[in-house]
Amino acid sequence: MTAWPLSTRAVDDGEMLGAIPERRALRTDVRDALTRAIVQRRFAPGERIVESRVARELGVSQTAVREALRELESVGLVTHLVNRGCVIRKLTPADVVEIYRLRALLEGEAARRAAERLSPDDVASLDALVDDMESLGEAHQIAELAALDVSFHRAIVEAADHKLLTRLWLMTNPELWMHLAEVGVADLPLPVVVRRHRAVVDALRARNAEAAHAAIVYHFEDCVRDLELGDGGEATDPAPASLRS
Amino acid sequence: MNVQAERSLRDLAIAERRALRDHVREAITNAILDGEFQPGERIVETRVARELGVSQTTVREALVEIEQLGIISSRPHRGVFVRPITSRDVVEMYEMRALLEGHAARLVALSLADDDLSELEGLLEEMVQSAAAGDVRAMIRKDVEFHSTVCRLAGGHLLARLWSAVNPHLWTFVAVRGLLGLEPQLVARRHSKIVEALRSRDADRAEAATRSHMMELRDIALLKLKETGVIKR
Repeated sequence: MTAWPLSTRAVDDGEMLGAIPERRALRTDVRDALTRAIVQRRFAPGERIVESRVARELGVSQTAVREALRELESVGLVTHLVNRGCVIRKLTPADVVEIYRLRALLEGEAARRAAERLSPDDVASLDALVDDMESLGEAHQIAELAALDVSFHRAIVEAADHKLLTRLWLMTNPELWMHLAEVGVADLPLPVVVRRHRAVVDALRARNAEAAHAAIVYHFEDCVRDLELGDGGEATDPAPASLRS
Repeated sequence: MNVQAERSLRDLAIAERRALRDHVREAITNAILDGEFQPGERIVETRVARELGVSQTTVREALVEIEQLGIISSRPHRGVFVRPITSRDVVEMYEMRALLEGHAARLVALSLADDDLSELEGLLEEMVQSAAAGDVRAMIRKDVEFHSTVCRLAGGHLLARLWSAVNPHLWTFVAVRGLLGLEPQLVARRHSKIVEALRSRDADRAEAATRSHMMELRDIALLKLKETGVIKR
């Protein structure tokens, strides 16, 4: 699993380097380093990020750190507070529910489009991905499972072939979500979590756009339910997609 | 100077730098919208800095933000260019606004207070009047405010951020004043269906009305594009 670009830039640009390549590469490196630190909880929510200290630790200029922080602010990982400077945003349960609902909205639409575009080979590799998730689930390799989970969802978004949708989806911050899943999924019966993905693949294989949409929406409703149940909550089996439209 | 005072001074400096950057960003965006920069044209940092009387760093920072809006793109060793608008951009923009704002309208319909409804009715009224009076800039402002109000009433930080990322302000300009050439009065009047649906407090109806508002505009825009052929396919 490669590191996730936390880019809000149009993904079709393909070129990460800009007018002054060294500078752009630096900002991206700083942004990725900070994102990793936040996702790994090396900063606490509400904690202030001191530009000069980060610059010193990473051996870069304060300008580079400032530019990176602006990007992180645009995806909601940090926020600027008057009299406090740049602080780590505290994610509330309501924030996470909103992320799930908006991912359901975007990925549901993506799945609709993907159902019409995916080749049998594409569907087969999605199926193989879920097989791998299954093995990882049985072996309780949660971090690896979470990484494959993001790959699965990314594959569907990319199959939709919609540049703006992909850009918005990246703004929902799948890397952060992966971390949340990694933490939150541990108490759930993993076979159930994996099976939810199988339902999506089945709908895509049948080239049934509405069923694919419904399977994604249902998948995220389950995630919201898990969140509301808290640890040890009973997860339900995926209902047939035809029940939800 | 004590630590608190030092911090306040620094925050003030940061606030000023932000205000300046916002101003520069607006100026460059407006220049693009007004056609002073043509699609495909290179934006030269030093020249913009000189014309606006600001530092090159400020211009560079503003350009980074504008690039996130998707209207310019930077190429290695070559600089920053105004992205040509394609009909695909137009289609994708309306499709995503249909999705996001349909979702927002659904949430709003379920919890709409009378005051909020009056606010939307007021904006619709002002939009229609501005269009009738030929004040297109005011009409565009009210149009964008109408949609951003629906998103604000829906609540949620991420929804608001995604909506802004679609860049409705820019696109409303492009649609009504620029390349798409949509008739302002027609665009203004179409919003009444959304208001009616919200007034009914029927979530399905509110979502459907908002979606068709966007999808119909998409179709009208595409038709216009075919006629004029201004925009790259």
